[in-house]
Amino acid sequence: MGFFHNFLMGFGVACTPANLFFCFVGVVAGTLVGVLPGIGPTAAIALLLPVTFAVTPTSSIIMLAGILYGAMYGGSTTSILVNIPGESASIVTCIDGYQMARKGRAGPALAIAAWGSFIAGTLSVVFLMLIAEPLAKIALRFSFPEYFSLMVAGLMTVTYMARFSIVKALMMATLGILIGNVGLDMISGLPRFTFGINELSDGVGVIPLIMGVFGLCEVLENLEKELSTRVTYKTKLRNLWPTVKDWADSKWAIIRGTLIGFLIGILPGGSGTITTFLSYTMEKKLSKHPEEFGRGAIEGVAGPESANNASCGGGLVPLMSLGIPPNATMALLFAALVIHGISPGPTFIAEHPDIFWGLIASMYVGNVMLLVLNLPMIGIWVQVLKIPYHLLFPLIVLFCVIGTFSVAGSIFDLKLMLIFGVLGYLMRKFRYEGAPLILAYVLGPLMEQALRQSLLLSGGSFTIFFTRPISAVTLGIALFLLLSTIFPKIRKRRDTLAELEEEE
Amino acid sequence: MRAYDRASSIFWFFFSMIVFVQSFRMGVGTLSNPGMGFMACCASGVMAFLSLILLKQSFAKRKEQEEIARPFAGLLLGRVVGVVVAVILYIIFLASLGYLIGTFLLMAALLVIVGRYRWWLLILFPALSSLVSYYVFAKLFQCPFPAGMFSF
Repeated sequence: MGFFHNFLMGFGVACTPANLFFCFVGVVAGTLVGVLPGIGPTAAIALLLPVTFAVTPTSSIIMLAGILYGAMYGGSTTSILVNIPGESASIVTCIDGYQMARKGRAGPALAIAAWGSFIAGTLSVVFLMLIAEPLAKIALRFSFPEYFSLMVAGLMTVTYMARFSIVKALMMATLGILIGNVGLDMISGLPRFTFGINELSDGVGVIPLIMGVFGLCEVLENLEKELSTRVTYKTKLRNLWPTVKDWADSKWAIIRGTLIGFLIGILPGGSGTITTFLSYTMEKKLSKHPEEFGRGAIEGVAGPESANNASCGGGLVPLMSLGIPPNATMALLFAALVIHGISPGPTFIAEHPDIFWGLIASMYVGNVMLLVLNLPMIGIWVQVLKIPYHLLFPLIVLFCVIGTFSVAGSIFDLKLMLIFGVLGYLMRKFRYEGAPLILAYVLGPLMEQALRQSLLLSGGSFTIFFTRPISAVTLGIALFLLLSTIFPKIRKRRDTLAELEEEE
Repeated sequence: MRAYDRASSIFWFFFSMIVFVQSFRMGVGTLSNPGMGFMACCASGVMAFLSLILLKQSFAKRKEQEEIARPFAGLLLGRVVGVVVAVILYIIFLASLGYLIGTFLLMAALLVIVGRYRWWLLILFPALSSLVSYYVFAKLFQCPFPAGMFSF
């Protein structure tokens, strides 16, 4: 089957009424999540994951991916109009977007954010389409040592990109591996760390863990502060179309943002938030009038908004072709496929072309839906901000409860969700991050299998990881990342990025 | 943050030591034939080592470098505890009260905890949210919610 045949087949899958409906639900939910502060795309995917149990894997992944890139669109609206970033990847957009709105240029700012997101989203899907399949073919030659090294490098990069202490991020990664160890041993079939509790024989469920760490924890953290529901929105919207000069100023920012977003998105730990900061810094450095940045430069909106959307497509490359999720959000998409009995990996595209190409095509369709949804309906999205949090948070708790309970109808899962919710809250207070924990929990069993099989193959020699070129190079990268944090210059850059994110 | 890092590193050190001992009991096997405790043994060993590094870092930080803000200072912790207690009670009584009554009470309790409600909202909002969610998940998605002692 040729490339175009697959591509057309994907559109055939994506354009069925059911998949169009789920794509629409996903992008609308994503836009809502992007608009509403206090709930990010990761938490939203976790909350809506159980809803997808009743539908086909293709519809499920189409909807969940829609939430992800929809949130990137939605976040810009409130950043520009009311200076409130709906999610962390839109923080940078506030800087120049809000200044443009104050100068009466909210329309062009919103339009360039939407068009930039559309162009970047579409281009990243083209890159994904071109890269994922050849990469999967290369990955078919990988054996257990290569996989183990890739997963170690992936975890190391995620911890390297952690906002706070690398030591703490590594500790959370090891905790994730330990949680993933609970349940029956894959080789002997004997129980491990189950403490005589039958419900733990199948291991700690992914849903209670995610609902706790991302859902309930988010609620607890938001409630500890005074709830503010006052939104002042006085900006008048006019000229919802950028001028020729706006396009001329933004075109290279959009292209550069797309490339940065896609390339960083492929890397483990490369979140949309990081790409926006990098894009903004690059635009400011390359600009002929850097003094305009912070005062309403349109490139400061176009670049970051393009970057955060392109990172979604980039993140799907390692997930679809290697079966390695590069960040916590992609780990949720991984979990969604596993729940449906599908293992992402090098054989995924060949075995499930309908899901892969259906997802690709749905992203084109979804990007068009978002463009149509976002620009004419900006007034409605701003009204959404007026929903008071004291009515929103009980609904989030209810979603956590229903989502967790509906998986197996088990009250034990609710107890686990509560435990992980409290643990997640304490982790945030003590500045331990949740992303390495979730990623290591998902990768842990795969890592264990790869490690044990590699040692069986080599007769107990660890040299197997260093004598195979791909394995040696990836382990070398992991080691370099670990050691590089010792260098003061690199450490300072990481700290500055963390401070910037925290200040916002 | 120094004191908090110190406390958490000590906690994680003892936690990893317990896991380390347990994994040895399960059997770590040999390098050529790793047992089922092998991975947990490696991971807990690494965690213990990292917690010691964190402990050392917390002592190495100078006092002037320490942040003034404390993780729990000035926060409305009563609400956080209130939500946790409400969910604990919900889990305990869900089977006996059933989904509809249990969820109604949970939603009402959550509104009370935040303290922003009117009497009609206290009835209408929990009633609507429990009924709508029951209809969607129990009737449409066939989710097996507990019926409770009142059989609904």
